[in-house]
Amino acid sequence: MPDAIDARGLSCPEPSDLAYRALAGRRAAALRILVDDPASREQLERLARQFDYTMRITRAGDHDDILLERRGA
Amino acid sequence: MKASFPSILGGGAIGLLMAFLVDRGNPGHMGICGACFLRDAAGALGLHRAAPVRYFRPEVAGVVLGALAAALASREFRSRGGAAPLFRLIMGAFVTIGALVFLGCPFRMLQRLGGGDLNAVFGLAGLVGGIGVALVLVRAGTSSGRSSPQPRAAGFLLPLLLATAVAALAVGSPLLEASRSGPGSQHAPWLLSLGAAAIAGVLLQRLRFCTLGAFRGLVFHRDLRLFAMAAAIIVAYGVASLAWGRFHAGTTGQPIAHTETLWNILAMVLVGMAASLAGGCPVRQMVMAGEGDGDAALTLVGMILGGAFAHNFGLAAGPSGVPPAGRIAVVAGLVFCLGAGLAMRTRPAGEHGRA
Repeated sequence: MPDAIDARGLSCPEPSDLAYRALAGRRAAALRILVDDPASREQLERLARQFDYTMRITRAGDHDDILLERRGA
Repeated sequence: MKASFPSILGGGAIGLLMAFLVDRGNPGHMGICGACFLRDAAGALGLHRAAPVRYFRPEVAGVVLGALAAALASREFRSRGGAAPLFRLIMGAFVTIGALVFLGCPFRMLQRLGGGDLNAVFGLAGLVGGIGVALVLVRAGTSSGRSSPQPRAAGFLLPLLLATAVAALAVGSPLLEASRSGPGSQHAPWLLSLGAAAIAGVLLQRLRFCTLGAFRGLVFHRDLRLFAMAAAIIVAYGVASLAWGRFHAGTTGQPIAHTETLWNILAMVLVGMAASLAGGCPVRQMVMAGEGDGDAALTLVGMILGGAFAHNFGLAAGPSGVPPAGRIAVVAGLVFCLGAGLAMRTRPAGEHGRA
């Protein structure tokens, strides 16, 4: 069961900081995060690249359902 | 740095546009300033009595309408709102009050840095401190609330109001007051202001620029993309200023600036905190308002009110320094933002909503 964050409707810096602490801080094996803001999605893409996570985006209505998984986990 | 290339290019273009607006008549290092221009708007609407700072700057409408066009074209326009609206309005007011003690919003701070104004270095130090305090609050569980979708038409309200105001300005309506001397009388021709700001608005929306995000990324999140863009704005503005003979390095003799270091720092701590808790720097709020964010629109309304308060109550600094009331307002703002931030904790430290 991956860590899960519902970041829909949250304003900056809440979504990016929650994700940063999960990926850079806790090195979570997997993180599922819901975002509805393109700026947050792009920040997640950079975080995933930087901290070596794969990223799968599923478009779900008015938001993105994103699954990040640590490579080699 | 591959992903940074469009950001650096876009930042360079924005820096040149800002220098161009100054060359064509805007006040020194003030191609666009979120706080100063919303304060000028407050004056144009008769909300304060300071005669030298009244003009409905078309740049505000330009950025919002440029961002609106970019958001519609990219299908990113989403009408939303309802995340602690009054809190954001009050944060907006404190952003303007802090910015008018420093004499510029974070976006003008970039232009002041590019133009060689070393007082802005202290402002930057304060801004980073304020961003850090707000981040500590967020990590302790503070949240500025959660927005929800709103009727689509609601997202067009602020752009429509601003477009109406620019139309009124264009036909010389007596409803809008304008300064005959002082900074409010210094402006580029309105169509040039509108056009240059609209181009900037498109770039700012596509590249998601936020001055707070730039320095938060650099110092706290190891994400350099927006910082690279901020650096490009500073460098391009500096090079253009040099070419136009407006570059002057030092702390004294700078346009619309003072040399009170402590207050340059503390005022920008307030701006960094309040703007972080409101979700972005003033220019980013304009862009988000163009994307349909009603909370950002309300933050801008709060900034207009803050501009009116700053002049009605004698809080705003001038080239000669910071008045006592302005110092009291900055300290009161810091205490209020810290207290409100702590009171806005919605979850235990480290926890978050389950998806």
